This record gives sequence, C-alpha cells and structure tokens, in this order.
Amino acid sequence: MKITPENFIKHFKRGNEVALEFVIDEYSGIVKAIIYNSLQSYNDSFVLEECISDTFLGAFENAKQFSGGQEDFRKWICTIAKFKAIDAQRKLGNQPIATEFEADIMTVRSAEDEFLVQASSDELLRMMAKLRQVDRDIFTMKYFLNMGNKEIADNLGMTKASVDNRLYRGKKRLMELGGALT
Amino acid sequence: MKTLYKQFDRQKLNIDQDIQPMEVTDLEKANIKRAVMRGRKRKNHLPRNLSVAAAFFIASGITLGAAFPTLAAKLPIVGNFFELFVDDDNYVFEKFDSFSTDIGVTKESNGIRVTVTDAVYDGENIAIAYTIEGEQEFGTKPILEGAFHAEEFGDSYEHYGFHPEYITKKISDTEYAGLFIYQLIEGPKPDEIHATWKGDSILDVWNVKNEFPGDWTFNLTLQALNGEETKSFTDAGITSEADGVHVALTKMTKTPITTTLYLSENVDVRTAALEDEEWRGALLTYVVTDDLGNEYNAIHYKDTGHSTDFRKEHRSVPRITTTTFHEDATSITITPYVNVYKFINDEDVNEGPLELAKEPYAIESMVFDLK
Repeated sequence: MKITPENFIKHFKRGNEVALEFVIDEYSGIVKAIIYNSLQSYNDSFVLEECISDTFLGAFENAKQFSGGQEDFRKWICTIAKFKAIDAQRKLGNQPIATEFEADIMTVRSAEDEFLVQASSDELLRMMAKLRQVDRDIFTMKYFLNMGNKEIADNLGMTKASVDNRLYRGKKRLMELGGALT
Repeated sequence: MKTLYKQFDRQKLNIDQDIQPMEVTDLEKANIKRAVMRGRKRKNHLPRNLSVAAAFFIASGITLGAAFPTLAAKLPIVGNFFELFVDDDNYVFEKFDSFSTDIGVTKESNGIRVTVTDAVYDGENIAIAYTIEGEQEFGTKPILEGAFHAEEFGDSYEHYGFHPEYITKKISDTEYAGLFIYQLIEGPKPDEIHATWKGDSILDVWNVKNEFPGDWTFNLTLQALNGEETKSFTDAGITSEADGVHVALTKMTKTPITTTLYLSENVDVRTAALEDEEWRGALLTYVVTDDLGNEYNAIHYKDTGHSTDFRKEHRSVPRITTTTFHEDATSITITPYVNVYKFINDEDVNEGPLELAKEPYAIESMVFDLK
C-alpha cells in the first residue's frame, strides 16, 4: 500500500504506522519551527525533541478527532505543536499567561488566573466543558495556546473588548465551578 | 484530553502564519519516529479492538442453538463442553465439527496450560477453539491475547482489515473454553495459510487488570474450505431507506459453514437522532431471518459505525456472518435496527461510556431471493 498526499489522512486515522511516518516526514519541518519559536529561550535540544515527538504521538493517538482535508490537517498539527510547546513551558515552571498591560486586565489577573494556571489541563478541560462554545474557543486559545487577547479577537472576528469581557466572566464562572469541585 | 484535540480541529487556527519550516535531517526524523513508536507501545498496551468492543458494544448479544458432539469427545476437561456455548453470543459455526482440523497441541507457561483443540478456516473467518487451565482464577472473560499472523497475508492485516471476536465460557474457576474468531474483512483470503498465533497473555476483557503474561505460541497450517461462492448485489438495488439512513446489501459469500453478508451504510446522524447540537453516535444492528421463519445467529463486524464526529457522507461497511441458510429457504430478510447513542456523562465532555438515547427502532427490511 502506497501512502500519498491524497490518502494519508484516511490511513493515519486508522492507525497505520506507515501513514504516521509519512506525516512525520511531511510535517516535522513546520512542527519543529513552531516549537523552536516558542521554546528557543530554553535552548534545550532535549526538550525540543521531546516536544516534537509528543506532537506526533498526540496527533496519532487522537487522529479520530480530526476531520477535514490536507490544509486542515496542517492547521491541526501546527495547533497541537503550539499546545505541546506551551505545555512544556508550563511544566518547566514558567508563567504561561500572556500578560497585557491594561488596567482592567491587570486587576483581574490575580486569584482567578493563579487558580487556572495551577489547575491541571484535565481539570481545566473538564471545567471548560461547562462553558458555551465561543467561550470554550477563547479559553482554549488563551490557556492552551497562550495567545494574546487581540490575537484571539482577530481569529474569532470579535472586538478585543468583548474577548476581555468574556474571559473575565468565564473566569469567574470557572472559579465558582472550581470551588464547587474541590 | 481527547476533547482538546477535537477543539483544535474545530478551530482550525493559522498557527504557522509567518513561520517558515525548519530543516529536519534524516537522523532527526528517525529519532522522532523512534520516540513516537516507543511512546505508542508504552501507552497502547491494551488491544485496541478489545477495549472498544468491551466498552461500547458488549451488549449486542444474539442467542443461538448448537451442539458439537464430535468436538466434545475430543476435549479432555469436560465431557460435552461446546454445548456450553449454546447460550453465548454470536456463535455461528454450527457445522464447525465436520470441517475443523484436529489440532490438540498444549503449551504451558507460568503454570498456565493452553490447548488449541481445533481450528477451521473457511475463506472468510479463521476460528480456533482452545482451553485455558491453571491454578488461579482468571476472571469473567479471559481470552488468549496475542498477535495472529499468517505469512500469506504479507503486511495486509497489520493494522486493519481484520477483526477479532472472542467467545469464552467458564467451566470452573480455573478452567475455561474459548473460541477465537479472526475475521478477514478487507484483504487477501489465500487458499492456504501458515499462521502463527503468538499468545502472550491471558487477559480478562471485563477487567483488564486481570492479566497473566506468558508465552503460548501456536503454529497452524489451515486449508480454506472448498466451495466458496460469491454473489454481488452492487447493482441489484437491495436497499433500505429511512430518515437519515441508507443501507445497501453489496455482496454475499457462502462457504460450507458460513454465509457472510456485506453491507454499506450511510447515516446522517443528526437527522436520524433528531439532534442539532450534542454529540450522537449511531450503530445499525441487524436481524436476519428466512421465509421459513428461522432467525439466524450472527457475528456482526460493525466497522466504524456512525457519529456526529464524522462527515455526513461517511460510509461504514460492516458485514454479518451467519451460519449457512436453511436448505429449503427461498428468500432472506435483513431488518436493520437503528441504535442512537449519547454519552452518559455531561453531554459536553464527549468522553466515557455511552447509553442509548432512545429506543432502537426497525426500519424497512431488505429482502432477496436465494434461488
């Protein structure tokens, strides 16, 4: 069986290791670049390599969650790479929250953020499930991909003010839920 | 974690905007591949097909009636043990005894004895009967787990195209009778196979913590039974339609001991489930009857099934294996039942066990003539 750019997604989703190798050959360049960009300050080739393999492993094990064509696949695997880099940063003990020096943000960046940072990814995901889809999108970008509020707003075609607002309200909501959980 | 990957899929972000790919040497690529494979082996300890089957579809039981006088006489541990399978699900090899090859090989490892008693290959399925005996209790449904491979397959069934099915009957706390059915779904079906069944653990599929490692490797040479017939229904228009559901019969193969019906299913889950927002899964099950009023037991290979995770055009190509049809039967009726599933937990989480979202309902039957 020959793996080609036309059929690799199908086989990848079925758990075919040949398709996995194809994906690694095709996408390791861009995955490496994304991870390198996020982690270069660490200058640790071991962390870098581990992050790259984690990206492909994560994609392979969750291939069923993917839908779409080649272009979508590139976006998906790049998003996973970014997430793995942020996750590595988090594990290395760095503050993952993008800071923005605006008065209203500064004031809320306290207990709620600390709480969310300390919550494990799994807990955060579980809590986020209680939010509405648009808020889930925002929280994913903010806490798993470390994107700035302006960037999130651009991506969703919203104003930055409404992203700020939604984050603020969402965090309050998660705090309440988190309090109820612990 | 799964939800996160799905969320990423939903958002389709342009993360790599303004980022140029970096060079990755062949050595680096090889390192990545090795690391990923290693990570996989570590996590992927349980057989995938099994865990899925155990988690979701274990309830799809079918009754049957069959007795195996010839086999029973060969089996040392209890006089008539194949009668024990009578009330078990999906046992279809009613004519097994007259076609099977007597094997009778015992392997012992870590104090556990596994004996392969008989095997049969009919061109569509390989069925192997075996017993497990030891000093300890093995749990509710222990099976001999391990890679099955025939050199004639090449690498065709390495990842997919096959589907294992296991039937186990407890005889006493330390004795079990088992049947391993390896279904050849999509790939070569050679006339003769030289197979190796590399059993490396006795695993209780109802409680996978109950695992006993060891080495019980069996080599089997099996001839496909003669007289396989194939009939194509691709252009015959034998279909069933309902809201959001389209099923077609595509092919039938007959061997001296089984009949296999190949189907093609397309389900628009949202329409069938009447649900616009939440996750839903759909599984079609089938009841096969003839014009004499016989209902046939079946092994149902479900393929992917259907869910809102798939695109609307997604096609699932299952097959049903039954025993040979009654010789006086002139027509066969296949009735599909639509089973709609949802998550038991909070519906937003999309993880965990499933439950029926509504009562399964029958849709229009498909009928075809045998003569």
